[in-house]
Amino acid sequence: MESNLLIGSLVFIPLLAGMLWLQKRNTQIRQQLIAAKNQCSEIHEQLNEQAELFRTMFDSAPECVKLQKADGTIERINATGLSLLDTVIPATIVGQSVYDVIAPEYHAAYQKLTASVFAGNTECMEFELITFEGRRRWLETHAVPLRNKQGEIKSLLAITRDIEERKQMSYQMEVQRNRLQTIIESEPECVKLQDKDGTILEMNPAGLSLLNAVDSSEVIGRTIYEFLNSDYHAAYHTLTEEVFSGKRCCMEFEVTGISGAHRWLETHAAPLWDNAGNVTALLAITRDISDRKQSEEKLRRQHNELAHVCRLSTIGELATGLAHELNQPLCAISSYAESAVLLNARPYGKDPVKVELILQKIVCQTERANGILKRLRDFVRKKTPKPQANQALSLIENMLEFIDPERRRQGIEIDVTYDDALPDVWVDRVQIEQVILNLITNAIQAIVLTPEVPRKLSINITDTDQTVTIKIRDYAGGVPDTIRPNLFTPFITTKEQGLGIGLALSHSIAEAHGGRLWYEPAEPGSLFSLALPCRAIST
Amino acid sequence: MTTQRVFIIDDDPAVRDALVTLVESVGLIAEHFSSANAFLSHYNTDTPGCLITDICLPGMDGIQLQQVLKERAINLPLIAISAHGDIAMAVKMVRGNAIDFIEKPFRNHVMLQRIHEALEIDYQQRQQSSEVKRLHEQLNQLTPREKETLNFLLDGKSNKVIARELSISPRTIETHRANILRKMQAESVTALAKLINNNLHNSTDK
Repeated sequence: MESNLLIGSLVFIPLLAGMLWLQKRNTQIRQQLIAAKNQCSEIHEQLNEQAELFRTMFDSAPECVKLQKADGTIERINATGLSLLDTVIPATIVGQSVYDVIAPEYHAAYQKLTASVFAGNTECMEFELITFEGRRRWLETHAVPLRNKQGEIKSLLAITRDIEERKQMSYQMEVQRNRLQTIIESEPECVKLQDKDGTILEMNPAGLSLLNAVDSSEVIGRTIYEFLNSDYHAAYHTLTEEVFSGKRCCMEFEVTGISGAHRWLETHAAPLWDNAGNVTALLAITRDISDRKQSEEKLRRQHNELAHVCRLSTIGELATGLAHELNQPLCAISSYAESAVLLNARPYGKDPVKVELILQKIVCQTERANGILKRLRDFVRKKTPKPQANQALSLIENMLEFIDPERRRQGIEIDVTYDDALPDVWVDRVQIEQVILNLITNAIQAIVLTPEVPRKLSINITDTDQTVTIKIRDYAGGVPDTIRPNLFTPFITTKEQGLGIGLALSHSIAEAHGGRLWYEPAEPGSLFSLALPCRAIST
Repeated sequence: MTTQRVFIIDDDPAVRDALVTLVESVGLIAEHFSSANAFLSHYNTDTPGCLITDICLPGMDGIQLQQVLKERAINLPLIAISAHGDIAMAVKMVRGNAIDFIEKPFRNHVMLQRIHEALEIDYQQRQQSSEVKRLHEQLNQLTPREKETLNFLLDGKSNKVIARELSISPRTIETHRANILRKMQAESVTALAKLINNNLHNSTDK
């Protein structure tokens, strides 16, 4: 504008017109300048706005944003970054080296990252920070190069987030995994994972030692059926299927270890689910119950011994009757034989047909005697009880035959009534026959010892809901009130010569079969009921 | 006289049958029963024979049977058998006049021997009782005077003594004596005395 005035003073008039033009032009320019100024301030305003926006974003970003030089000097850092360092004053870090706050063990890695970024790469790393308060903090940083107009890398721009929580979580998980692993490894019982076809996927040291394996390679990958005794294959297969259908199961079985050692085991198996709700494996906790089995076995053996002794004692009591019973066929046989000899020795009138008939009768009587002996032998034989399907009626009839000589001697009537179509009972024949015989002999003795009572005994068999109940009733004096509470206690007896074991033993035999034996007074007389299961009880 | 029979009571069918076989093998007739009551309701007192019974029987046992037989004056000789070897019962049976007690199993020849003995006893008993019957009939034919005379004769008194005691002549006594021997079908007074002694010894009506 001053140059315009100078030009105006030098060429004032001629140039007035020019001046006017210029003035006009000037006005135009001025206007343009104003416009430009306006525009400029508008741009400036926009720039300011953007800078403000950038600063706001920079400052309020939820993650740490920082600018850093190649040597690690921090140029700028936002509020989140400061808070990560447990400070609010930018001066504490801006202009300082980033290495002041990075845990020393990460310095080398961070230097490498910085170098790589200044070479134009994008990098990422996890490291620990030591804050101004001295705390350690896990961070994850994403670093990119920041270039100027010329394309030179001036700074490293890093966006860094606090991954303390994630790190903590994964640390916790690791701790938990380790703890679990330690528990499993040091668990005194066998822990194993198994797939559907029985292949052992994992097994802890306790499990390996149960199978006498020194190393897991001796067991992992093999199937459980290689160790399981064949008696249990079917049941174990069923268990596996149940578990894979989502149920928890439990069973006892026997295994033979690698060294050939035999063990009784008890396993509790449960399904192992994945996130999608599928059963991925069978998880089993298994313990060695050999000791328990042995003591159970010992107890059972003693129980059986006692039962055997009691049977012998019962037979002793019935010996007179049994001798009589056996004497009858022997008597017939000896007489028949002598008659046959006599007939055959006749000098005249021999009758071979008659002799043969007699010989056949001898055979018949021999079989009869044999039958008595067999029954006796079966009854007193010492054998391991084995539950099987038996007809309750046939058990009773067997024992009635046994007791028959005694019954006749004492002149006692026994009537048996029973429901139609009784189901079989699942019992050991000899042991339950023993209980029945015990109850019948008790009743007979009660009748004999009580004067003027009906010499009668009623046996009734009923069937309700998979249980067969045998009721044995006499019409004698009944059990005295003083005895009743201890009726099934050993060594309690009303008999002078009794041991007081019969009923106690009968009671425990009934319970061992999953049945029951109880007493009710029956006005007049006694009523003993023996309930027996029709199905196998699970052991 | 009807044929002798061997009655067998035993509740064991085999033992019963064996006994029947034995009895029949020696040509005797056997009848068998499974209980004492069955026998009692069947038996007719006039049937001669003997009885083999088991002591242990359902219902009435051997001892009770023996009692009933006694009450009914059945004198059938009885052989007791038992498979029990129960001494107390055996003693009771034998005291109750069983001719023997045989344990089962028995030997056939022992059993047969006892059966034959029993049948002989029964025969003798029956013989004796028919003799007694006849004697009573004959005695009833005697007149009161003859009966008086017989008493003196059995006491062993002579005709003279009897005549003096009865205040009649010895000759009349002679006639009575001849009539007595004729009516009693006796050869002599000695034979008659023996007959009476043997058969009427137990009865008091001399």
